[in-house]
Amino acid sequence: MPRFHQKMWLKSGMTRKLDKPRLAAPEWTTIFTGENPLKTVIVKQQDFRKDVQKIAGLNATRIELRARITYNYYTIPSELNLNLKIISETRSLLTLRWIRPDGSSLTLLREAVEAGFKSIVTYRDRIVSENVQTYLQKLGAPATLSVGEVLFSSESSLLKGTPTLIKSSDVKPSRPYELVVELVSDSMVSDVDAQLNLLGSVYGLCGTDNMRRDIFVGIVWGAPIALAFGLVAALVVTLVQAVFGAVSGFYGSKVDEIIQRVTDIYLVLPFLSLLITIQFIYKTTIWTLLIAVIALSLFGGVTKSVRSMALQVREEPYIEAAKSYGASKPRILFLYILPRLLPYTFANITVSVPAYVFLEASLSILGLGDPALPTWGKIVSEAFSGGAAYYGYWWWILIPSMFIVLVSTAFALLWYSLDKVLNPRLREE
Amino acid sequence: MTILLSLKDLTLYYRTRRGVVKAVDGVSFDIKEGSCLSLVGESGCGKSSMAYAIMRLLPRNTHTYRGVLLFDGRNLMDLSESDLRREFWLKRMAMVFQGAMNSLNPVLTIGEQLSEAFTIHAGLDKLEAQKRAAELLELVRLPRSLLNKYPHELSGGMKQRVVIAIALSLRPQLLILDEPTSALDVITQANIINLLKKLQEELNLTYIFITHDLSLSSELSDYIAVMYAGKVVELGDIRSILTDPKHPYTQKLLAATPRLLEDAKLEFIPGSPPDLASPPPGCRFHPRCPYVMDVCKNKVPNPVKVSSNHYVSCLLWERA
Ligand SMILES: Nc1ncnc2c1ncn2[C@@H]1O[C@H](COP(=O)(O)OP(=O)(O)OP(=O)(O)O)[C@@H](O)[C@H]1O
Ligand SMILES: [Mg+2]
Repeated sequence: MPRFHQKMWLKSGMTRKLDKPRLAAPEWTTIFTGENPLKTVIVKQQDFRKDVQKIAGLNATRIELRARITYNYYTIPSELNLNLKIISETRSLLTLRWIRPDGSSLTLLREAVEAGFKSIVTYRDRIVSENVQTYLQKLGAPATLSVGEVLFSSESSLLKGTPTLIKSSDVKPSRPYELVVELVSDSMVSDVDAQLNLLGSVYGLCGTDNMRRDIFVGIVWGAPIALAFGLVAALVVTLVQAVFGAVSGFYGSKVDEIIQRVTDIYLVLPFLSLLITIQFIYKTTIWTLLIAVIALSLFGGVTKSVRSMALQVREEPYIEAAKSYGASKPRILFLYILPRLLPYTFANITVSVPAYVFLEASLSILGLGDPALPTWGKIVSEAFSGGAAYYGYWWWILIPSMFIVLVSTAFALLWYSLDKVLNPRLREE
Repeated sequence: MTILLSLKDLTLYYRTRRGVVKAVDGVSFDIKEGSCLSLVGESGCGKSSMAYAIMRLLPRNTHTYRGVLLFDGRNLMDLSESDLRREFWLKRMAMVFQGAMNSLNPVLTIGEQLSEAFTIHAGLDKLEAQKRAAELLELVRLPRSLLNKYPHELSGGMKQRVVIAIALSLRPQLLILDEPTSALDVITQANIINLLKKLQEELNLTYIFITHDLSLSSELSDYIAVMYAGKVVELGDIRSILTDPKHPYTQKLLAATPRLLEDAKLEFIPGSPPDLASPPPGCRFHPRCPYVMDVCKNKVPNPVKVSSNHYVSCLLWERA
């Protein structure tokens, strides 16, 4: 399961697809900014109009793909990326042409390409830049304009050096931008498919990080990990401590003395330092972390409180009666004493779940988390190292933190209700 | 009639911060099979302690525990706790605790608690044990529908019956009842006493019936042992104790028993029972005794036989 989580997280970004913007704010932020920036527009393979010509006499194929993009946003895309899948027996000639709504056009690329996958980051591609420069020279426009500006501005504004965006609706009747991909090859079995990604400055529910990963995916897939870690740690630690407490209170004398002294030692153990040491020595996965946390909390506050309750319960007449019926000590402990004490530990479980979620997050921030798994703490930690706080990529920090707080609040509320049920003084009749 | 249980010099002292509490101090008597012996005395005189001593259910702070406990010819003192668990507790002797209302596990159903003995000690399967549990409820005249109820859903009298049923589950010979009716109203009390009488006939039980209520004990018992400050001061068959009490304490106790429609003012015994951590020397009753003599202050009285079934520990009778 965790391996799967890891894959989902990695797949979310860093792939060849380049279909998510880097460091984009969540889409809903536009409600507050009141702007209408480009949300990601993807022209999928099946949305390209495909035109295949096989010229049998020449033993050649010409394929034309045409993408039509109705563009009515106020800003130019932050990135314009094209993914191509070329099938051919020989090298082929690839031509990319860009047609603006006003009918003006320019050639972005014309080169011989091998078969295979090809990603073109138009804004940064060397050949595209050269072609754009040539275009600008021919036009007589300043050479300082960026590729994005050139692609989305009218020629007249380029000439003046003040690029202004043309929207599809600026021309009557409204016309889209067009990208024409042309592949010519000396082969009858050639084929080409394309996907065009126009990336904006906002993305999805939670934005993206510096590796183009959708933070929402990290949060969704990190949730079971955070909850599993928190619940397992809280459950095991509380129950183990409760059992030790009950044993201590019930058996008394030497056993009690030993358990209590060990608990005293555990209570003063420098928990974090030991955990850091353990994480340095052993391979750091979330499971070693979990085991270490449990091992360092076998005895603790719950041992003390359950012991004091066990001291009371063991004197109750029904325990005495059970003894006279010949019930063995373990039987009395597990059937007569523990069931009485466990309800009180449930409350402790609910309050310690968020504590362990927090612990995992803070260890991640210290760099002691699982290096591969998408945990909430790790998203925050990466945000810090990515300079999110400095550059103001607030969504990268605040959203995962908010989820950590949300889980804590949820369990705190659960605890309030449990307390009402379990604490006789708060019980409503 | 054969003797089922014979105590000789049974002693149980507790260790406390105030010193050693002599709760049971050298008690000897015999109980015949099928009879009922009542143990009466003021609160704090060591009746419950006596029951614990007989059951060998000792609290943690036991200081001294000695004497001879012959049960059907075997000395319980020589047995290990696991022997007791295997052969005696619940199988041959059982106890109904003082405050039986609280003797039930609040987290298990009545059915579970009734069948526990059968699954654990007799090794029966769950279904068979449930059947036996239902039979037990019938034995104590309770409806079967209680099987799935929890203790808090039962009335005090019902709980008392359930506790008696549990104690009887493996058909012990000896049943110690520690004030089984003291928290109940008189009607329920009478019902329980009648039930106990019937059960004694049906199952040939031997009872040790602990109470502070002399009139109640007269309903059920064949013999009465009067305890004062950790010692049995008088023991005899019920007729001789009630009609011809010899020990001044017993006389005072009888005089303090309320009777209906009688104008006689209730007597009370001046003073209070001694602190068992530092009992008075000699006869322990001497500070409150109306017939106190000088010897009483340092000589410990021994049991004297006053008639065939009647013993009294008092220097008044020792001299005579
Ligand atoms: N576990 C114990 N540790 C120390 N002292 C005890 C303990 N149990 C009883 N005692 C003391 O021993 C004395 C006899 O107590 P016990 O419970 O046997 O009296 P009782 O006759 O059953 O009284 P009651 O009628 O109130 O039940 C009392 O003074 C009591 O304080
Ligand atoms: Mg008592």
